[in-house]
Amino acid sequence: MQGTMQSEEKVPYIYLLEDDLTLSREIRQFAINHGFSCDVGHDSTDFKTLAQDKKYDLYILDINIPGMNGIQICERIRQADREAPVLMLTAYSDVKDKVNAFNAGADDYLVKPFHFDELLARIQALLRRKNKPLQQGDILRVHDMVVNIPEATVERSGQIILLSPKEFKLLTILAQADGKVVSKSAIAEKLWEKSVDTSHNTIEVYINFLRRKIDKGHATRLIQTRPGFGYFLKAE
Amino acid sequence: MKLTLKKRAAVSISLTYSLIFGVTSITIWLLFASYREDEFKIRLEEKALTNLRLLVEVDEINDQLLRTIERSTLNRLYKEKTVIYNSTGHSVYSTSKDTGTTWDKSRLFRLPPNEELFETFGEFDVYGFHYHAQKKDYYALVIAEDKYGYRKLRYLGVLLISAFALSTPIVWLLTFAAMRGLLKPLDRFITEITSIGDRNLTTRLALSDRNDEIDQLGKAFNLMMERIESSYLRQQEFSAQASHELRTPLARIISQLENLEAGETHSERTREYLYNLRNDAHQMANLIHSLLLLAQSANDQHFTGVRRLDELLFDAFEQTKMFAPNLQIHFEIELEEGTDKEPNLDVQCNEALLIQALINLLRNADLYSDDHQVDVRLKQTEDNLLSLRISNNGATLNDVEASRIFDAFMRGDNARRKQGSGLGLRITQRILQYHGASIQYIAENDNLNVFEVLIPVYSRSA
Repeated sequence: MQGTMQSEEKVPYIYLLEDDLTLSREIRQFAINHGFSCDVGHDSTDFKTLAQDKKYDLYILDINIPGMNGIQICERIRQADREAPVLMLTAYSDVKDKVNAFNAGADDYLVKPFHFDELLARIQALLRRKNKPLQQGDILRVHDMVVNIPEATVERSGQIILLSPKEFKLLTILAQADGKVVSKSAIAEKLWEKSVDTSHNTIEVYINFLRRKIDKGHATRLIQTRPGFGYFLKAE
Repeated sequence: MKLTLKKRAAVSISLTYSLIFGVTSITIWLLFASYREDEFKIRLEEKALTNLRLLVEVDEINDQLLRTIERSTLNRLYKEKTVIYNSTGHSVYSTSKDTGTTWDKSRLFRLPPNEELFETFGEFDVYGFHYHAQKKDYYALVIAEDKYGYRKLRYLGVLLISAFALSTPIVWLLTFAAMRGLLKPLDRFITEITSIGDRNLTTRLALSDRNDEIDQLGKAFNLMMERIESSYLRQQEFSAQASHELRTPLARIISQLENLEAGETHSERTREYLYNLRNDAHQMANLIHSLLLLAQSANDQHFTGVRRLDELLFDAFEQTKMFAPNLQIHFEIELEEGTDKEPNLDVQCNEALLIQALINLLRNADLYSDDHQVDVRLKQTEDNLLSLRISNNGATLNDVEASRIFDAFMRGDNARRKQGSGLGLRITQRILQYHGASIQYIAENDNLNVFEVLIPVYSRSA
């Protein structure tokens, strides 16, 4: 096995711990096909002897492996290297397992069998999150509201507001418009992909959901309506 | 008529009581009646003999004197009439002229010497005696009404009947109350047992320390529950284990197929085969996933999260698109008519389970549609219900098929040349029932299939 760490040529290096020989071979093949480097271990001894002291860009760990299980390995990785994202892979879909994995410091969780497309999307998302330093436009401010896009959080006057994923996306769309009016059609287009179509009424419902969470209880209202045109963010 | 055990016991006990009481009362009454008769006969006999002796054996006394004695005596009977006849049948002594009765005297004269007769004639009792002494024959006849004896008899009758009438309902009520008290634990058992479902198999009946039959029944029931619970758990464990064991080879198959598809150049036909194989493997994985979730769902701890139904729908939609890449949905949140009050879309759920149910519905709608267009509408119908309508244009089911749509392995006529196991909707219904939700299929017109789900809204104040 190769012993390269965070590579100079910037090929992300993945460590895969999976006891099933066929599956690990296929995942490795898939990773290499998509431009990653990939080391494979089949049990905790493999990990301890060959991988423990190396730094990888991403770990994919099967929970149910011989010796120490994936969750314990994950704890070990967290003790040694707090940064690298860990994706747990398992045939269990029990809530308890999920909670245990996240408590051990895992970043994501995928249940077998999965689509390779989904695996790829998760790997890319985890690497993006890890690699990308905060950029301009990642944090948007409107009056006393702060929208943190990479962390998917919203605060108003220092208080965290819990939004559903769609509400957060809607707020981001409005915040990114930087005070300009966004039409309902434009919102619909950005909020859902092409395969979902909806009416303006439903957009209104979502705006109301958002208003209730963002503006209710605050003297200054941020979500404004321009009748016949659309919505925009402005302190009023 | 069906009677409860309590009523049946109360009725049979009180019937038995009434029977015993009735027979006893009648016996008492008859004995008393015969006692009265005997007593009155003795009195009439005494009367007859006294008069005869005085008249026949005491020379100083004639009929006049005897009448005087008789009148002054306290021992007179009610409506009494005493007549003494000589051997020729002539009256030698009579207490009153008017006989008052039509009793046939000829029977008296036919009596053999020193024989008596006694009988009841209307309200009167009649005593006759053929006196034969010193070669003389006299016939004594005493007729009287036993007014006091009959009154006592009547009084006794009234007493007995009243006691019977009064005590029967009291006994009925008392037995009913006693039975109710006795069988109360049974009623409690019934309530507790009826509430047992697959989500509370740990329920055990609370037992008293009386150790009576009911307690023993409870103990036997608890023992049975223990066995059911443990076999249910074993079965659950097996499903979990089995589905886990099935997933790994499926993951192997799928990963190899995916790499094979992505790799070398294949002919169009091979590509199609690979695609179908992969789809089938995913469908199988989905079924196994549902089965595992259902096996786990019996355990309440999995029923925890509160999620927005619209978000669950979008999650389900994302996953459905993996198998149904052409699926298009038209999504609407509808407001209650006449208000602009925004709906509460929160539901308390096992997230993974509910998403699976929604995937099944979306996938089903896509599969049976003509154009991969699926209409999804969310509406808060009443304060505590959310209506989710998923509809598509496509061949509908006939009434017979529609009535069996949620049966396992049921596949309608429109399922020809379509993929599917016939388990999806069964599992969906099971998942929804588990969430206290209902689902129904409506063929709104010849070419419109609608599934309507009604699911309780979770309100934080509740």
